[in-house]
Amino acid sequence: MRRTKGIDGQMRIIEAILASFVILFATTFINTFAVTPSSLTYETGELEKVGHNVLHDLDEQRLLARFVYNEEWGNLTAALMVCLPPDVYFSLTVYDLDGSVVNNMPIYYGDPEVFTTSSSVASVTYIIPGYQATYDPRILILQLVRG
Amino acid sequence: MAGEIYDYIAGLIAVGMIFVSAVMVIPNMSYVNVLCVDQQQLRNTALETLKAMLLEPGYPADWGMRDPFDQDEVRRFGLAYPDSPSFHVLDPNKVQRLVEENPMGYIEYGKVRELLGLEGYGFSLSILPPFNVTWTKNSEDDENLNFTIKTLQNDGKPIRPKANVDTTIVYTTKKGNTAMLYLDFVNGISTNPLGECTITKTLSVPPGEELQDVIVVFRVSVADVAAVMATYQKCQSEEFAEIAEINIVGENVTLTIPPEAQPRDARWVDGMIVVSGSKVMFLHNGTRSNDDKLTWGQGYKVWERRFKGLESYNPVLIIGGIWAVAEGEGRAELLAMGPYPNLLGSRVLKYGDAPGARSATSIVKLQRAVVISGMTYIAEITLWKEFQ
Repeated sequence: MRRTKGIDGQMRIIEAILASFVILFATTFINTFAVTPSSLTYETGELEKVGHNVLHDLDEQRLLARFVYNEEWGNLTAALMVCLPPDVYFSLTVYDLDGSVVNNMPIYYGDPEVFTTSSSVASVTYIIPGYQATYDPRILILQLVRG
Repeated sequence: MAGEIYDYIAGLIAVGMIFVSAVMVIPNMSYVNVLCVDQQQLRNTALETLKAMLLEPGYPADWGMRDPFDQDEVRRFGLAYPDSPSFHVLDPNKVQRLVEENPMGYIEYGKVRELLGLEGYGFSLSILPPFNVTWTKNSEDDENLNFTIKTLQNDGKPIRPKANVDTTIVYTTKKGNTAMLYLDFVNGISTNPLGECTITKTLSVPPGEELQDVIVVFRVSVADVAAVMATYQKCQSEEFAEIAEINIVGENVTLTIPPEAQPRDARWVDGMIVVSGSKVMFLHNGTRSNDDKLTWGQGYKVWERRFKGLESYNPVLIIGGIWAVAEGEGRAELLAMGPYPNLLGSRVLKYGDAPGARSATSIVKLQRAVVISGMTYIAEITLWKEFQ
């Protein structure tokens, strides 16, 4: 008869260690799938709110329509610069209903490359129906990114 | 048998060691996630707080207009203008209740925290102009004004292409017992690429009249987004607030004598000017009768007058010409302005427990552009979790 009782304890140790490693690997593996609040999501969500708030505020002051329809692009850039937080870069494009770009000079602050390289660019669409009782909508696309 | 027991003991120790190391390692692995969750919770709370503050009018909806003001009457907190069809338009009467120095009464930080359900959290709120304006007085000659204005973005960079500065000078003269209140203007001065400009003006004082007080109001605008602030060129009294404190509640303008004011002789409100974001207008012409009297005596401690339509004018500053005793100089036509801190260009310098943020492990800062009295300001909230 073969004696196996002597190695029973050693097998249990190996089993226990293997089991521990399995649990450890499983925990680590599951951890990678854990859904946690992403700061990028927060960033874009918050930036969208900030962007919409600033455009709405300028519209409320009756400045936005004036800047857009009188093509005061320099003033629009300056107004966005003072109203947005200093660490936020922006790029604004104004379209007409045909989808043609209306602003003949770029409206931006910060490095323009950051809008193509950053993974967390917030985008806000704002529509102005017209100016001084004339219906001629303009679509404003404001892109924002933290600098 | 004994060998087997030793094996089991060794196994138990090994498993124990693995367990202890796992207990130490796994939380560290998920620490970043825990921190993320904590930060997100704080952000959500800050967003909800900001929403409640800036989009809700509170209850009663006119709680900022109550005179006398009792903070216990406020059932729900919010700063929004009750009749505004638009978002982020704040009621100046409510905002003014966040100023601790307001003699008309203010709402305490603890009360606001309780109303917002922020027990366990600390916060601070400031409502500041969208850009930074500083001025330097270059002339000590009261009749020859010379100021350098510097306008920068809030991150310290000069404003491009330029800011425009319109200056209104309010000054008083006297001839015997007769006082005069004058206005003068320097408009359309632009800043250079460094964000600086110089304002110069020689005041016109008619012969026989003696110059008394001078206040200079700067309206600085960047692409028509404006900030208004004021300073003294000449001030008869050491502290401008000694003459009278000026406040606005709805359409009522109220003047009070600060408790530390000296001397306490009777004073008369001779004239009053209102400054809005775009205009300056004469508001009141005094008669030196008991109707315009302000003293420590019974019945005259507070001067209050309702000006119909004042609210729609969007007042930012009120400047009063007051016939009062200047220390060591006899009666003079002195100028007082208010409300504080509007004269500095801000609405709320710091409300809440600002020093508390220094001891917090993580804080969240959020800001929004808001409209108060037709002008744009930046409302910034800082929120943190307090140690329990």
